[in-house]
This record gives sequence, structure tokens and C-alpha cells, in this order.
Amino acid sequence: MKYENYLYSGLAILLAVFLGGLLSLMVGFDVLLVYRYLIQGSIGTLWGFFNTADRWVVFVLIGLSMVIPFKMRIWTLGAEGQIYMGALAATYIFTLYPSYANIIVCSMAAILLGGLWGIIAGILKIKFDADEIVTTLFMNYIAIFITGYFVGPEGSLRDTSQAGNQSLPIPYNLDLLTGALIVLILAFLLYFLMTRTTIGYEIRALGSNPQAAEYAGMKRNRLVMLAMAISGMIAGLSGVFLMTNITRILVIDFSPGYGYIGIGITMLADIHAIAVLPFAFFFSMLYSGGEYLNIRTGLPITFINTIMAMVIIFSLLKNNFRHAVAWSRRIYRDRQQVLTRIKQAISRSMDAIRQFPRSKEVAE
Amino acid sequence: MTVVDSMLISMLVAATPLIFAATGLAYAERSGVLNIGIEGIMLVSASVGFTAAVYFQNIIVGVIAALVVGFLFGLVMSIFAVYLKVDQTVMGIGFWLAGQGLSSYFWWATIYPLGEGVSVTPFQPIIIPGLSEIPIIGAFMNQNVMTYGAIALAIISLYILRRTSFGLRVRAVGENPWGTNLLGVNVSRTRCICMIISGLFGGLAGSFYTLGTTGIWADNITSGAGFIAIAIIKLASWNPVWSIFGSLIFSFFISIQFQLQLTTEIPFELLLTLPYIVSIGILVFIPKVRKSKPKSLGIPFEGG
Repeated sequence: MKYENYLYSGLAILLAVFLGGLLSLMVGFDVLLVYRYLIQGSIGTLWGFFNTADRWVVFVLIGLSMVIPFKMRIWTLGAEGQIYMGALAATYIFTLYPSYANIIVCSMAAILLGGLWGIIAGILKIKFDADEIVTTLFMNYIAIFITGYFVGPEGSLRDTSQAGNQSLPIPYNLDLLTGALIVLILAFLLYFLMTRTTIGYEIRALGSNPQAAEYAGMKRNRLVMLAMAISGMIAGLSGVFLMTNITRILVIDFSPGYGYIGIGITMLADIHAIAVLPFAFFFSMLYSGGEYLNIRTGLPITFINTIMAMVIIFSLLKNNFRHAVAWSRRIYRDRQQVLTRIKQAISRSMDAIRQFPRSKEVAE
Repeated sequence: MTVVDSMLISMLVAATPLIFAATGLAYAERSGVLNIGIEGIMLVSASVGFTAAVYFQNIIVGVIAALVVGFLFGLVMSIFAVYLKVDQTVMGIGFWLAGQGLSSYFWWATIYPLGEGVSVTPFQPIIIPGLSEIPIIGAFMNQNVMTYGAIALAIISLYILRRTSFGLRVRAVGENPWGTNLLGVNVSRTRCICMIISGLFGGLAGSFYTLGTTGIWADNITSGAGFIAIAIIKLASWNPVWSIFGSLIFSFFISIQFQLQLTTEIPFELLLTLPYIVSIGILVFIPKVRKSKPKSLGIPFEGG
């Protein structure tokens, strides 16, 4: 366990938030005001704090869903589609079989369908060696379009009293404390699984050195299936919580890329189940603050998405910090040479541009 | 003009950005760098190219702006992948998401205040007289300049990769960077140049969406085309000319989906999934072991 890695995670966050501030400055916003609204909307007010906490439950689940596959170096992007499938399964149960439905049955349905969505990607990975990034991404699109069909004009889940394409509002409410408890237990279970069991050891071994692990007799295919199934199940569950706590209804754009936030959370947390908890809180602050920011100033939520993506990019540098240091040191040492080269390139291209119309005239 | 001809014309239009992206990926992956973020490059260059075209009222300026964006993205990505040696897969995912966010943010900052319905006149088809009357082949003679350019650039790229010393260096760096380094080739620089070239191709692919066909911008306009291109270049065994045919296979399913929407009763949401299901199906049929796969694909070069 390397604690200084989390220091680098903090640096990555600061760098991304700083660059995000520059982005808003370019459009002509007051950066300090943007930051103030971000904090005010996320933890500054009671309403904002509960909004953040509700999101935190969902984001922790999305982050946890990626811990096992990422540890095995399977870069699944499937959480987005699994969220949709989970929410779709829950909506299907409470709309069409209301007499049997309660929150537990709906969650079970979501876990099953989310897990199935993960298992399909797992089968494609182990049987056909299909690139999991591409297959899981395409399955996200498929899941979103299937959801669109079910809440669309010809689908069976559409709320006919509304003008737009949406489902009935979910009639269950998840207590925040219960949600937090479930999430905490799940995080500790995953931590236990990863550090104290044979399966966890094999997963870590396959992630760090696949050839040696397989040579030692570990069943890679079985573990890949297990990882994808667990990942799908947790992500499916987060779809239900996203509905009960935040959106209330199922619409085609009900998750604005929340599945991809999990990548950022897990990378910052250094693929560690317990560390997911605080970093998920950071992202839930960012998104509930971003919603407030959107209401107050009109900055779109894509602004927050950009910051999130930059966090992913910079969080990678923590494992390669020495390369970054060595590279910047080399640039600093050869700064004169680098500068003269850049100047040469600029002057050369300026010459070319200046000569361009002249050479045309000559040709004519 | 028969149904087959109109189908072929729309197939070629749908295939053009795929050919551009796959050709760019051929450079990057031949040199041993995964460029999963090409979708992000395409999105940002589509957005910036569109904005430049609207502001200057000139689509050529839009394409140049898209190329500049592709160059900058390629440069930044190559710094991360080649010099800082980060995990190329996660870096690609990060740049894709950053591109998605940035493109939409850029549109919001520049075009959104102008009001609704902002559009530019896209490139018009250049109809070659005489040849465009011939069935089947006529469809290839009835395209705009970017489609011709895509096919030409794919063929030129194959020539560069196969027959020039630069191409030899690119392939050698992708197969065995350590040995190539001993022979005096600058591995990092070669990979850097290849990433920038693939960024430029990504810029062309992105600009085609806004300036080549529709003339408007929509959020996430490429809808996964960069990832389809990743599948295509694998299917085409890293050969740009084969990627033309690979792109045509995929674009067949993209354009047949529009035909089916008009003629059948199947709900359009389910038809929209067709290209993705087919893509997964084609990925399944790519054999596990490819002889032509660059040996050092995705492995950062340490040392040297």
C-alpha cells in the first residue's frame, strides 16, 4: 500500500480543477465565482449536501463496479450500459408487475440484468478475444437504444400521461442511511475479497503478471467471467439507486455519462475498494456543484465532464511520476536548444507561408 | 439511378470518416502506440472545424482548423504515451472523454449563443461527367472531395508504410523498438510523428461529420465511429487499403439501417443498434492470433 500515490491523486485533482477554471476563464467567467458556486452547491447548503450525499451512494457503487476488472487490467467501459439495463429491469418490474414489486425485488432484477450485460462482454472477451473496450462501449450504445425503445412511443414502459418519452416515476425511496450502509458494507466486502481470499490473490496475480499466473495454474477465463459478472451486478444496482435517489424516472439520457465517472474514481483510488469512498465523494461534489453552477451561471454539465476526463488523464501520471520528472528536467536542461528549435520551426513555416503566394504568381 | 447505386453512394459517404480514422490508426498502431482516443480527436475537430467554418463562412478554413486540432491533440497524446510512458489504454479513454466534454463545451461557448439552426453548406459532390453514368462504378464517381481524398490518402499511406524508409522505420519500431533503437533510429521521435499523423487523420475524419455531410453540429455526432475504426483496422490487419473495404462493410450496415427505417415497421430505436451489434459480431470473427499484429503494440519503450 503506497500512501504517497494518494498525494499524487490529490495533485491530479488540483491540476484538473485548475485547468477547468482556465476553461471557464476563456469563456469569460469569473473563476473564483465558479469555484465558489461549485462548493456552495455541493457542501455549502443543506440541500446541496443531501444532493451530494445521494450522488455519493451511486458513485461509490459505480466506482466499486470497476475495481475487480481494473485490477485484472480489463478496461471495461460497460458501467454506463449496465446502469441503463439495471434501471430498465427495475422499471419493467414495477410498471408491469406492481403487485409483486418492492425495492428489493426491483434491485434483484437490476442486479441480474446488469450482471447478464457484464457476462456477455466477458464471454466475448474469453471466447473470441474481442477487445473489451470496443465491445463494452458498443453494448452501452445498445443498452441506451433498448431503453429508448422501452420508454418510447411504441414501448410498454412509457408514461402515457406525459408528453415526453419517459417512464412512470419510481414509487420507492431509498433512505440515505440505508444506502450509505449498503455501500460501506459492499466496499469492505470487496476489500476483503481482494486482499484476504484466494480469488483476490489470483485476480491480483493475473493483473500484475498474466503469463506467470496462468503458468501457476490459475484459471484466467473463469476469473474474467467472475470479474465481469460482479462488475455488471454492482453497476446494475447503481442504476436503481440512481433512479430512486436522483432522477426518479427513466428517460433516454437519464445518466449523463455517469458510468464513465467510475473510471476516474477507480484510477484516483489506485484501484483500491476502500479508497473509492472518498474519491467518489469528490466526484459527487463536483457533479452536484456543477448542477448548481448550471442553474446559477449557465455553464453546461459538459464542463464538469471535461474536468472529470482531465482527472483521468492526470491520475495516470502518478505511476509515471519519475518519467514526468525526468522528462521535464530534460526539457529544462535543454531549454535553450528546445527554444531555438521551436523558433527555427516557426520561422521556417512563416517563410513558407510568406513565399506561398509568390511562388503561385511565378507559376502563373 | 437504381437502388443499388443510391445505396452505394450513401455507403461511401458513411465510410469516409471510417477510412480516415482507420488510416490514421494504421500509422499509430504500426508504430506500436494504441490510439483509443481517436474518437475524442474526431469530436473536438468536428466541433472546432464547424465553428471555424461558421465564423469565416468558409469550409476550407474549417478543415484547416480541424487539422490544427488534430495536430495539437496528437502532440499532447504522444507526449503522454511516448515520453511519459503512461498506460495507453486508460490514456485513450481519458482523451476520448475529454474530447467528448470539450467538443460540446466548445460548441456551447461559440455556436450556442448564435441561436438555433446554425449550419454551413457542406462540400458538394463532384460529379465526374460520363463516368458517373456507369452503374456500380458510377457511385464512386459521384462523391465530394473528402471521399476521394480519403481513398487516395489510404492508398498513399499504404505506399508510405510499405515502400519508403520512413514506413520501414515505423514498422520496425512497432515490431522491435529495442533492436531498432540499436540501429540508430530514434524510437520516441518516430512514434511521436506517427501519433501526430494519426491525430491529423482524426481531424480530417471529424471534420467530415460537420463539413462533409450534414453541415450541422449535434452532441456526440460521431457516435462511436472512432471505436468502429479501431475494429476496422484490426479486421484489415493494419493495412490502410484493406481498411477501405472494411469501412464499406461497416458502412453498409449503417446505411441499410436508414433504408430499413423507411421501408419496415421495426421500431427505429432497435434499428439504431444494428451497426453496433454487427460491429461486435465482426469483432468476434477476427481470428485470435494475427500474424500481422505489431509485436510491441501498446508497450511503452523503456530505455534508449
